[in-house]
Amino acid sequence: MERELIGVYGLVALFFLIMLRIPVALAMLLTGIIGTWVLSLVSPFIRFVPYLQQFKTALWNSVANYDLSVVPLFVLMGFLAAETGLSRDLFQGLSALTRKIRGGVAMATILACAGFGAVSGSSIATASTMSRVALPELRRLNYNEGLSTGVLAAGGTLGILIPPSVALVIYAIVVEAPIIEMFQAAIIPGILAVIFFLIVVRFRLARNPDLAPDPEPLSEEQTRRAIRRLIPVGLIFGSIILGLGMGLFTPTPAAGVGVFLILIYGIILRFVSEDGLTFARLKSALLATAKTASMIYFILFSADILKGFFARTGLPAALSDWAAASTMDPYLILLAMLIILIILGCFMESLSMILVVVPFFWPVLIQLNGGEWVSAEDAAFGLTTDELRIWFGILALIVVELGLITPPVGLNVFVIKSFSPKTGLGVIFRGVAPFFAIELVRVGVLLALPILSLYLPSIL
Amino acid sequence: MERSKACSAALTPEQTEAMKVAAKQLLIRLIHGWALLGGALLILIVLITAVNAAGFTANAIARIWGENVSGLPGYEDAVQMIVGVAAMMMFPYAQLYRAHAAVDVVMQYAPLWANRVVAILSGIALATLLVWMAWMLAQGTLQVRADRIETTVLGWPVWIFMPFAVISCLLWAAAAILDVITPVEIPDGA
Repeated sequence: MERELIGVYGLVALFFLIMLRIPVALAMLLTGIIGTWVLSLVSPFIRFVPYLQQFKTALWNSVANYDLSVVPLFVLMGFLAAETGLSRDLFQGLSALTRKIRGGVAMATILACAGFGAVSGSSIATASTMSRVALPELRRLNYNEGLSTGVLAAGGTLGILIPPSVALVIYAIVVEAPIIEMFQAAIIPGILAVIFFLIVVRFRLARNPDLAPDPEPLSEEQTRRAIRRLIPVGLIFGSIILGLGMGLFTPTPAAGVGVFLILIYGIILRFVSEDGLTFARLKSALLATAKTASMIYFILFSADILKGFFARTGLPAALSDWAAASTMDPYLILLAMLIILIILGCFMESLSMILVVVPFFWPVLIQLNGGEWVSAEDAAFGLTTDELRIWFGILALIVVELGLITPPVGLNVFVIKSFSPKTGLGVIFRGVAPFFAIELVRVGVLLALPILSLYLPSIL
Repeated sequence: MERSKACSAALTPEQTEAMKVAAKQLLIRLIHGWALLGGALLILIVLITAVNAAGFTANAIARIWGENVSGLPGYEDAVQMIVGVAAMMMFPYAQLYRAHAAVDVVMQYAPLWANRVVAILSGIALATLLVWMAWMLAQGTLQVRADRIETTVLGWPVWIFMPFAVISCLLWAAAAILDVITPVEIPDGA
C-alpha cells in the first residue's frame, strides 16, 4: 500500500507543480525522478543509482524514434501550408462557393478549419491560422462577433481529430494501437463534427438572421478564380488523406510527401505570382516547427519517465485490480473518465493530458471490458480489446478537444482573443457555447454507436 | 588570475554591459542557427522521403511489366537518426522562446514577484537537469561506441549522432539560464 500511496502523492505533486506554471514536461520529469528516489527509500527492490543509468540514452532514444518522426513532419506541413498561403486559398475558395447562402462564410470557415486541420494536426495551429485568414473577412462582411469568433474557436478543435493528427499518433503510441487504424477511425467522427457545426450555424441563423449579412455572391469570374485556387489545395490535402485512409502510405512517408508537395507548390507559386514560398517564409515555418515539435518531444520524453515512476508505484495496476473487482456499471465508469478528461482539459494542455491520464484509464478499461483477451460477445462494452482501444481513443480525443473551448482556460478561445483583442472573452465563450453543446451530443452519439468509429478500420 | 583581475579592472561598467549584451546576442544567434540546422535536416528527411516514395510509385508501375524498382534501402534507419539529431537541435530554440506548454490558471492571479520566483526556480532546476543529462548522454555516447551499436539496415554507428544531443542539451541549459538572467523578448505572434 505504501508504494501506491507514494504514487498518489506523486500525482498530487505533479498537479501542484503544473499549477505553479512550471512547464508541464519539466513537472512530469521532476515528479518522475524525485518520485522514484522516494520509492527507492521505502522499497528495497527499487535502486535509485541503477535507475539513473537509463538517462545515458533515454533522451536520445525518445527523439531518435521512427514512429515519432511523423510529429515534426506533420507540424512542419501545417506551418508550411500557412506560409505558402494554402490555408488562405482554402478559405477563399470555400467561401466563394458558400457565399450564396446566408452564413455561408461562417460555414466556409468551419470547412476550411476541417481542411486545414487535416494537414496541421493541431487544434491551436488550426485556430490561429484560420483566425488570421478568416476573421478579417468575417469582420468585413459584418458577421456577428460572437458567431465569428465562436465558429473559429470551435472549428479549430477539428484539428485534433481530423486525420492525420499528432494527438491521434500520440494516443496510438500510448495504447499501442495501429496509427493508420486510428486515422481511419477518426474520419467519420470528424465528418460528423463538421456536419454538426454546420447545423449549429444554420440553427443560430434561423433563430436570428441578423447574425450574418445578406448573401453576397461573387461574380462568376471571381468564383471561378477562387475555385481554381482550391484545386492544388484539394490535390495536396486529398492525396495525403486518401493515401493514409486507404493504407497506401504509412504516416511518416505521408507527412514527408505532404511537406514535399507543399514545398514544390510554394516554389512554383513564387515563380508565377507574388505569393508562394520565400526563404524568409520557409525560415519562419522551420522556426515555428522547432517550437511546437520540441514542446511535443519534451512532453513525450518526460511522460515516459513519469510512466515508469507510476508503474513502479503499482498505482495503475491497483486501479485495474479495483476495476476487475468492481460491480459498478462499466458505462458509468467510462462516463466518469470522460468527465474527468473534460474537467482536466479546461486546465491542461491536451497532449500532456493524454500522456498522463490515458496510461491510468486504459488498464482499467481493459479490466472493465472483461480482460485483454475477451471476445466481443462476452465483453462488457461488446467490443474486443483492439476495438475498445480505437473507440476509447476517439471518445477521449473528442472530450480532450472540448477542453480547448471550455472556460476558464479554453486555449482556442485565448488564441482567437489574441487576434481579436477588442472582443470580450465572454462574447467568445458565449459564441462557442452552442458548439460545445453539440459536441456533447456528438460524444453521446459516438458512445451509443461505436460502429461510427469502428466501421472504416474494419473495411479498409 | 592576476591578468583577469587586471582585465576586469580595465573595463568600464559600460564595456562590461556591452560585452554581456554581445554574449547574449551571440548565444541567441547560435541557438537560432542550431534550430535552423535542425530544420534543414527535416527538409533532408522530406527529400529522402520523396525519393523513397517515387521509388515505390515507380515499382508499382514497373510491376505491370514484371520489373522491380526498389525504394531507398535503410530509409527508416536514416530517418530515425536524422530526426533524432533534428529534434534535439530544436530544443534550445523552444526554450529560448518559452514554447514549452505551461498552465497559467493559478499563477495569472499571483503577484509578479511570485511568478518571477517560480520562473527562476524552474529555470535553474531545468538547467541543472540538462547539464546532468548532457553529462549522462556523453557517457551514453561512449558506451554506445564501445558496444559498437549500429542501425539495423544501414549499419551506421549510432554514437556519431549522439554528440549533437550533448551539445543541444548544453545549449538548452544555456537558454534556460539566459531566460533566468535576462528574459528574452518574445515578438508578437511568435
